[in-house]
Amino acid sequence: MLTTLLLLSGAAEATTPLAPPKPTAEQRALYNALKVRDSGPSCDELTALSQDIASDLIWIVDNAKQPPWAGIRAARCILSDHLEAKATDVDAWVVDPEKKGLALLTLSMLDEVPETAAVRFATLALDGPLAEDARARLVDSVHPAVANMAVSTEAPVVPQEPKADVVED
Amino acid sequence: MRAILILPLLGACDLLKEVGDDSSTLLTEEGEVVTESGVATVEIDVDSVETAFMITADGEHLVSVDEIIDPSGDTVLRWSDWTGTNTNLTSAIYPSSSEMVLNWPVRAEDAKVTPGKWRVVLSAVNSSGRYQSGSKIKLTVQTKDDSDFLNGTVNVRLVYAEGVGEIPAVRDAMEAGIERWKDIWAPYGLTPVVTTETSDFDPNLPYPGEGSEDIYDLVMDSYEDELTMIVGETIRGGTDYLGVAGAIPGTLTANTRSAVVVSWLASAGTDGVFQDTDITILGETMAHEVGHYMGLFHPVEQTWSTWDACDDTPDCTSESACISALGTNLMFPTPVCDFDGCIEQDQLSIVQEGIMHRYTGTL
Repeated sequence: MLTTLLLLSGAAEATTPLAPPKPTAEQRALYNALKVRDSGPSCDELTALSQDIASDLIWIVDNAKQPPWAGIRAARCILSDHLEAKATDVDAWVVDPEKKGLALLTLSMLDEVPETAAVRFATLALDGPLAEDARARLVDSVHPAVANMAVSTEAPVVPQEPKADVVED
Repeated sequence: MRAILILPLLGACDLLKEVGDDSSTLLTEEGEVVTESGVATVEIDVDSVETAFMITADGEHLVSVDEIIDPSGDTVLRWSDWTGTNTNLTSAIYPSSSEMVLNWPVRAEDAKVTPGKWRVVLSAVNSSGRYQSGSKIKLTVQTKDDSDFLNGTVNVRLVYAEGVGEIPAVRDAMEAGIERWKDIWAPYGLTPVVTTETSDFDPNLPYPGEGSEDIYDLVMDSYEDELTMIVGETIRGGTDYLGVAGAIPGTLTANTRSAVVVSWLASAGTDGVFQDTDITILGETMAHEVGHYMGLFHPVEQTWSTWDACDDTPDCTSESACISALGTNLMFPTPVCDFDGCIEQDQLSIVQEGIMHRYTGTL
């Protein structure tokens, strides 16, 4: 009987939907700044809105679903200003197909990050499920090591049989 | 008092092109003026069927409009009536660029384009605001004959940057977004006619407000009666911008700002997948940015202290009041969202609608 109750209790817990996380006042202020349509705020401007800007930006990335650019803009500031503190989050972005937008943003910004970080993210991306998307974006990298990785991991070209010339009588 | 040199433009200009359907045409002519004491006057001969004109200037210095004088001699626009105010009518009065675009009339309440000689006084200043004499200004004048301000089509050449047009998900989303855009405009008698093509344009798009030779080169291949929209991955190396109109209003001829650019990556969100809501917002973004290009400002800027020149968009003064009064307006500066969803923004006021119909490219 006790076992049954415990099992039922566990099942009920498993099916209870999680309440959406509530933003703090600072997270809401960041979100309001990031959601504008035409011209987003600079990352410097955002810094004034939060005591823990890097973590609050990550919160926006993870929780702001609409408008679609709010999370993307927050991610951009992570990449440009808080890379060291949040490198493991970025590691996850570049290998997760469900975060493909973040992966493509990261890959498009590799020229702006230090070469060691660029190599790290490129390596992960080229080994992951987004390798094809990554390769196309890395081949022209300003970091020679990154560009070389894109070329050296290129899928081999399958040689085509030459077509025979058709000769008509 | 400033001396004004009046140089007849049309006597020396070339008729370049006449396009349009049976009911409306767009006439394009080119010429050049030289300033004396910092100003030069452009004369435009308007006939009885022409209803709007556009001047696109490309100067050696910063160019702006000082005055517009109708055929009866009345001054119908003075720059000094608008600068320094908290109301935006046209960016043509601000000497912020060597490329200037004026569309006249802007609103239904502005002086109607009556037949006769219209004079537009242009000024050329340096970056310190000092008038420049002997400054050459190349001009393109376009006039439309289309008296129907209730129904109009806007031709749009949509160009995918390199590789972007080959991503099926992006193409599908753009096509669905264009349908949303058509639905938004339809109640206002406006129809976007969009043709699409691929290109080798860099998918990291330039910011057109700063001018870009690449935009100029691309738009050289656009027709004189079509707007150019470029869809790329990012804008100016990032996602600060979702979409940008080159100017308010933008021109129908090629210059370095003559495009609307849109970033697909910012529009798809962190998952990189276009959900239904993303597509709805993408369509609104295209309609919003092209609205800017056709002369619409935000009804209120996010300072809540600067407004457009439309009498029927309230001059609200706080975020909550503005969301309440204007939150569903297509040109509201920000989407009204709460993390998981956004309300639809697809409304235009009667005055906003009139501005779009008076845009010279609306035929």
